[in-house]
Amino acid sequence: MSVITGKRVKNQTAGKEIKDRQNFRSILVSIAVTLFVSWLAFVFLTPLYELLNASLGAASREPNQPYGPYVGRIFTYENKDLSVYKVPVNGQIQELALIEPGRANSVFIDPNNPTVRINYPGSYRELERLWVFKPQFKNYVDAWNNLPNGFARGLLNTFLIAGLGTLGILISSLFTAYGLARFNLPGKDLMLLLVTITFMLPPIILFVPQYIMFFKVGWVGTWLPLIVPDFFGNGVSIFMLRQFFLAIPREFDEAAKVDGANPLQILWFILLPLLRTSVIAVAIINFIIIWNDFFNPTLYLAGKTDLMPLSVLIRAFSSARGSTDPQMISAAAVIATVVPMALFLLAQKPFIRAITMPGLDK
Amino acid sequence: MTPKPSRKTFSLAQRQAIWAYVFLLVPMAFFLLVRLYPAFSSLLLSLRDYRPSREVNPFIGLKNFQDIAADAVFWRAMINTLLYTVIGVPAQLILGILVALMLQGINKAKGLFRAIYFMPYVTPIVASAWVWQSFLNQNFGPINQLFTLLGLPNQPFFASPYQALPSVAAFVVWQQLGFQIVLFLAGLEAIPRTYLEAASLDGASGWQVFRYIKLPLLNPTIVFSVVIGTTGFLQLFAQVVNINFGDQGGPLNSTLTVAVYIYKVAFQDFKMGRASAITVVLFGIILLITVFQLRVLRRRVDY
Repeated sequence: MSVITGKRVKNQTAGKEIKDRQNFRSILVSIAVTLFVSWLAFVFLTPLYELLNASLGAASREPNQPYGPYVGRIFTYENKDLSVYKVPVNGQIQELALIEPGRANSVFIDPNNPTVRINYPGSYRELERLWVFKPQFKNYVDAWNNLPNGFARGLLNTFLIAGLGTLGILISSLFTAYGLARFNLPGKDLMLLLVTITFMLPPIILFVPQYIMFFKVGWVGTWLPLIVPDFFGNGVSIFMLRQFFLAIPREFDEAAKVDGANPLQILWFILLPLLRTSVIAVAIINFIIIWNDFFNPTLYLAGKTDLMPLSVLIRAFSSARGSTDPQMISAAAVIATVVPMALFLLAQKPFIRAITMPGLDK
Repeated sequence: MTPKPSRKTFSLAQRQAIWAYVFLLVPMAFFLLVRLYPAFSSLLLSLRDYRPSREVNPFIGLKNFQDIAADAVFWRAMINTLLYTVIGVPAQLILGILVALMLQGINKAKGLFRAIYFMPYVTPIVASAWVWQSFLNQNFGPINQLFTLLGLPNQPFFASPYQALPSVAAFVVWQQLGFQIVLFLAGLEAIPRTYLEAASLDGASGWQVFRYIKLPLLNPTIVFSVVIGTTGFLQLFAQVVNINFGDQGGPLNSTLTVAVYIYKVAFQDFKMGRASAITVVLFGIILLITVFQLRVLRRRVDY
């Protein structure tokens, strides 16, 4: 430190000049990086705009259709919807409605004066169509009405499965984490190791035996295999919550204990209020994971459309209607995305703190 | 006559023990029943010809393992899974560190950018896979429209047995990158500012600061990212299934992963013993790779 200050004193003016230049450079670099990161973020999110765009667009796309929710301009004449094209007539481009499409000869009418028929010697396909920016919000209504068993049911199922599962994880993991953080019992280190092992344990090795277990007790085809295991704790959540408990000084517990509080009261009245944001973050993380879960509902609810959450339902819907009504699938996908996205954006800070904790701990 | 105080301390310890059991042992017992017991029963199942519809499931020794060793589809799935891992883990690691470094360098709206990059991670896979399918569509997908604009030939992506696997890997990296960025950003923020200031006063260049200060101090985060990323890629399932639902793992098994194959063997062919054998093999591989990674990567931290 002293060497550095000594240097600084010696050539102060030169140092200031260098510092100014460095500041100027660092501002330039900062601006360049910000611009680049903004551009990259824009590119990175293109699939999500594309989803939104597709959900508001027409069912089919045409080659020269502009990017975005555009539909072809329509002129309705004698109860027929006619497409409007740019047609060269006597060296001038006119906007005319196609009434008789043909390969060698097409007949158009002028929307302002529909009785006059205008001949175009050529295929209408060579001409450019006129597009209007018109988001099709009715795609959302269509998606809502056309999902098997109704969207409302799917949405309710998803809310219930994710809500009950999250509740189960919170209750069981809070108890276990509190126990691991505050009680000294022989073999506690072994238990902590087991928790760590279970969350490092690849979930895939549980699938077959767990399925057999639930099949034997007759739970396949119900919500029980999706919800009941959550009431038995969740490795990552136990780990995260234990860290939160450890961050609270034991003096808080001791003070309450002196006042005659039992451990349950300490947990409920002292520790939980202190950890409110962190516990909510853990709840939101689990809610989003269960909301987006695809594997378990696929496995345990196969064929039970009335019990399925949105993830599986939209998959089934897109297998059935994806090729004919892609815009509806996109709208359904947007609706399914809104809830987890909103929850994440609302609780961004504690959410990110909670998920980065296991990574920083080691 | 026993003195009162000693009786009292005994009951206090007893009470403490009861609470400990309520909070710890009971939930732990259930936890282990649901999570650990099935893991072990996988091993036993792999030695049986197990089909859920039957009463008796005979013990067949190592027959399941012999069968999968001779199964070309299993090997295809295994090679694909390793390819996904070899492409995906370094890609998301490098991109994650790069974007995190850039985000750390900017002052304003860091939180906003972090949220933007994280958005794909909270999007349901069903939704993101659906849009990627149309995004990379051969005929009207925006990427191919861009290719046409640039005068490049259109590419089939998911429809081609050669391009499908890298395309799915790109999709997974896009989907997971936000998590990596958030992880590395937190790792970078944890580096004490004094280190960086001292280095810049000593005239260290940006690259030197990164190479000799940030990178070594990020090592725990890198280990975490690589281990979690590898176990994730080795178990790739939902992304693959959702990209090509009609032909799961297709075209021509080119995107098939071990996890998807386990699912097919267990729940479409109902050969659960055989599926368990594949599970045991996959578990062994995950275990070996994880232990190896922890050894090799951790060593660099003590210098």
